[in-house]
Amino acid sequence: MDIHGLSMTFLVMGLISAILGAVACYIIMDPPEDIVKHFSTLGKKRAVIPKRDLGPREIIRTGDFWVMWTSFFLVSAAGLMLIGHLMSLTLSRGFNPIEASLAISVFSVTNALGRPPLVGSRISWGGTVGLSQ
Amino acid sequence: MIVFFFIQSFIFIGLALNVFEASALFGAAALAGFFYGSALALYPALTGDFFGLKHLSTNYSLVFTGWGIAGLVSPSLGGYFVDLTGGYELALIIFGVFSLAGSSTCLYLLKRLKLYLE
Repeated sequence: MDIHGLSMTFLVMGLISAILGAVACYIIMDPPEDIVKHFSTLGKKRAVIPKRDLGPREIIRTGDFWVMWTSFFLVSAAGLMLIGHLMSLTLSRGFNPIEASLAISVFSVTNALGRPPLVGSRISWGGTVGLSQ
Repeated sequence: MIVFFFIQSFIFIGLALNVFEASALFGAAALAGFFYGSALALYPALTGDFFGLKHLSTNYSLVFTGWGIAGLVSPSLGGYFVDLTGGYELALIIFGVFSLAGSSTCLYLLKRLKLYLE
């Protein structure tokens, strides 16, 4: 079977993620008590503690939520626009299709590399913002 | 906090680089990707600090709709500007300004945040 070609590529990618996802959701589980305890004390030691616990209905009534929403919108708009247009942008600058797809790969790889601040914040969700204060 | 702001401004600089140095294509793609990724990773933490950890997952899903709407709107908006001017310069500058505006909004948010943290 020829796996080259656009629709075949999507089919193969879809099958791979379906299989991996199905397998992964059987492996995943709640962490054991002692690990949860370990990380929650770790978080309390170094992170700042939020004063309040608001539910989803309460936060949409605060102005801060909408300011945050708008800033998320504005900040991610640039990146999302670039994802959609990187191919035609590079082609319009006179690069060939191989260089264009390489540029997209570079973008995707560094996109993933940029996220590890998340690992710090996983330990305690205040971690990343707290650390940079 | 200051780092948080600068990371997002660098998205703007990454885009500006893209405008003027087409030969630095890979570097610009790398920078833009990196700072887009890290900006995305910082919002869950910000949501947690603002509204508490108890309902964080639900709250973050609400904040995340901002990303969804941006994904819906910004590529077509970008395409519109490209069609309008016949080049990517204006579209990139406009989205750079968007990004800078978002970063400045973050400065305000960080000032407010001090009220809610112990």
